[in-house]
Order: sequence, then structure tokens, then C-alpha cells
Amino acid sequence: MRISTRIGFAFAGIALTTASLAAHHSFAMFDMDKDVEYRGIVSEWKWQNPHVHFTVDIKNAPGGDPQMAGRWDVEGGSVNIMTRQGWTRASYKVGDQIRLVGHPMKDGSKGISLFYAIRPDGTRLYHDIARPKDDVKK
Amino acid sequence: MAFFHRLQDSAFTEWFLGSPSIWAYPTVLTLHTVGMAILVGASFVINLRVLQGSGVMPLQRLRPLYRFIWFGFTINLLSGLVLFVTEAADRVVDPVFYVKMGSIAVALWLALVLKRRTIDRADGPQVATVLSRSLAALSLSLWTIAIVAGRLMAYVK
Amino acid sequence: MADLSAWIEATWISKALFGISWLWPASESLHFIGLCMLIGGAGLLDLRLMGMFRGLAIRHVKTMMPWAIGGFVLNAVTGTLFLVMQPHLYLSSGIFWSKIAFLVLAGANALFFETRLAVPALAMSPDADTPAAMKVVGALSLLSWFAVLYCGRMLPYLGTGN
Repeated sequence: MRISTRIGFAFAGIALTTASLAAHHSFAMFDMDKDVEYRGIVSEWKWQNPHVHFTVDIKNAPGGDPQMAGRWDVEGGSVNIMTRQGWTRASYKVGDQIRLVGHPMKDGSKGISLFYAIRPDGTRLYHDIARPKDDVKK
Repeated sequence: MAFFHRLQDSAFTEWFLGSPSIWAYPTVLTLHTVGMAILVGASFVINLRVLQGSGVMPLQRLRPLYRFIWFGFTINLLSGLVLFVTEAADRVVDPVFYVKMGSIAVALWLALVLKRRTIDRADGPQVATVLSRSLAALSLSLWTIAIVAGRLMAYVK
Repeated sequence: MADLSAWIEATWISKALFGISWLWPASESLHFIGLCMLIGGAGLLDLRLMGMFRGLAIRHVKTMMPWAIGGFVLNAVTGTLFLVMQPHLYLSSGIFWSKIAFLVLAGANALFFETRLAVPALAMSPDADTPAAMKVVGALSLLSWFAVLYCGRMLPYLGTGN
């Protein structure tokens, strides 16, 4: 093997090792098969691309699941796609009550992938149109 | 630091990141991908030819590829600046951002070194030296690292 | 399409692949690397076909093509992985099918070149200007690959996507 090829492979190896070391830093893994309902107060509201992101504070309710209490990170989609589903910057703001259904993190940490929010009148604000297991619109 | 927060919290940032128009964030992001394709694509061809040692393409004839390197880089410098402004405070303390910028800077410098060593020499050999081939290999790795770092920035804020 | 997506996402292979937390981001990086290899290698040939880079024989430029094809294969593989892991992001999206359409166009264009124009192209002298047919093929190739790139990058914003 020519020395240049050897050097080439060496550098490629360095690059790929760096890349995979970086990639093994665990990425957010939501359990997409679980639909869980959450009710709380919006504590942070970031209406921005590439992902709309907000946090919801859930109180420790008497008789409720203590693991529910705390601050939850909710991840939505792009502003463009959510706008087409009816969301706007003004849909929610800090201090608002919110009811939503989403997919929790597999490792139990307080992260949610947004499925839909439930408006006061019971209708749904979907994050995105093409969710495979879409149930009947109320 | 306050300066970067002013950028990130500016009215421009709020409009740019919050706009449902495809001409805002999505277009700038896509331009950044187009610039990358041109910049890294052109660099890839040059590095590959240099690595080939005694390839069939005369090295000097690849000089016009440098116009594409600068064209791609300019698109990404401008689009990158816009994207940076909207995340200025988060990125200025982000090590992944510096890895990306550092890799790009060195890769571009290497592109110029290779140009001087091989393409610019009218009497230049068609067989690149071991040093030039090593620099070309290093350049390829650096572009790989830059791309991975760029992708990683989308996940680690 | 939504039913097809649901069916795919319920399969063992889809769950297993999507369950590997780093596979999706790693595939994204590889997809970007692949597109640079493809546009770099094929781009040089396309530009030569369009009449630029006179002094480079087309048969010599073609030595870059294995790398362009390598980039394409890398993207076909990572693209298939995305489709298997999260089909609902793509199968119901108009922009995704536009991307496929441009891929087919790029492929058909390349096939036309290989079957009808390759023989005279490979025999051309390094300094020769190219005939109109080759210029059109080169331009169409570049346009379609960049259209593929555009559709792909715009998916999370124009089409359905996370």
C-alpha cells in the first residue's frame, strides 16, 4: 500500500472515530409508541425554527403520580409545519394552562415529543399531520 | 458576552426564527447546504486528484475548481453569519462550534497550500509529493469533521 | 400512505434500527458527506459536458465517477434507513415524492448519456468544445441533483417532517 493511502486511511480513521465518539453522546430518544396526557402551566415558550420548544410545569397533585411533577421539556416541529396545523406564536404563552398528549423519553427523564395539544373546547392542535397511529378526531 | 446576547435576543432573531415563511430560516439553511455541496464537493475533487499521485487529470487544469471553493465558501459565510446571529450567545460558548470553525479554517488553508504546491506551478509535476498527498488526506478528514460538527450542533444546544 | 407508514413502523426492523439512538444522527452526517462526494464528482463531469474546464479530457474526468457513485450509494443506503426508521416523515409528503421524481430524472439523464453520448464523449480531445446535446445533459444533471438537495433539505419545513 502506498504511503499516501496509508496516511489517507489514518486520517479517515481519525475522522470517523471522532464522529462516532461524538455520536455516542446519547441523543434524545422518545418512546413513540406511548401516548401520555399531561396538564400543567407553560413556563417557557420558544416559537422558533428549527423546533418549537416549550416547557410545562406540572404540580404535585394529591392522589396524582408524583413522577409527573416537575418541569417537562416539550419538543415540537418546525414553525412552518406547526403553522399549517393551526399553531401560531400566540397559541400559548408563559403562564397559560395547557393540556397535551405526547411521547415521553425512554429513559424516564422529563422530555416529551409533542403529539397534540388539547384546546379548551376539546379540539386538537396537532404538531404534524402524518402521525401513523392517528386516532379519531374528537 | 452581552453583545452576543443582544444579537440572539434581537428583534431580527425573533422574526427570523419565528417566521412561518419558507424564505426565512428554511431558505437560509438550504443555502448553507448548497454552499457546503459546492465548497466541499470542489475540495473533494482536488484532494482526490492530489491523493491519486500520478492521476490522469493534469493538476493545473483543475485550477478553476478554486473559483467554486470560494463561491461555496462565500454562500456559507453569509448564510452562516445569519444563522450565527440568531444563536450567538449559545454558540460562542459551544465547543462543537469551535471544532467546526477550526476544521473549516485549516481545511481552507490546506486548500491554498495545495494550490501553491501543485496547481500553481507551471512547471509543476503531475505526481504530487508524499507531503502534498498527506495534506490532501488531512483536508478530507477536516471536511468530514466539519460536516459532523455541523450536524452535531443541531442536537447539542 | 399513513397506514403503510404505520405498518412499517410496527415492524421489528424499523423498531430495532430506530432504537439505536445514534444511528439517525450518524446517518444524517453520512448523508451530507455522500452528497458532497456525489455533487463534487458528478459536478465536475457535468461542468465539463457544459463546456467548462477545457483542457480536461472527458475520459479523464470520468475517473472521478466511482467516487460520485460511492457518494450516491452512501446516500441511497442512509436514505433507505431514514425511510425504514420513520416512514411517516416521508411517505405522506409531496416534497419527498418530488425528491424521488428528481432522482429518477437525474438517473434517466445519466442513463441517456451512458447509452447515447458516452462513446463520442470519451473519444473527444481534451480541448474540444462539447456539442449542444452534451451541454443539455450536463446542465440537466446539475439542476436535478441540486433539486434533489433542495427537496431533501426543505422536507422538515415544506413537507411533513419532524
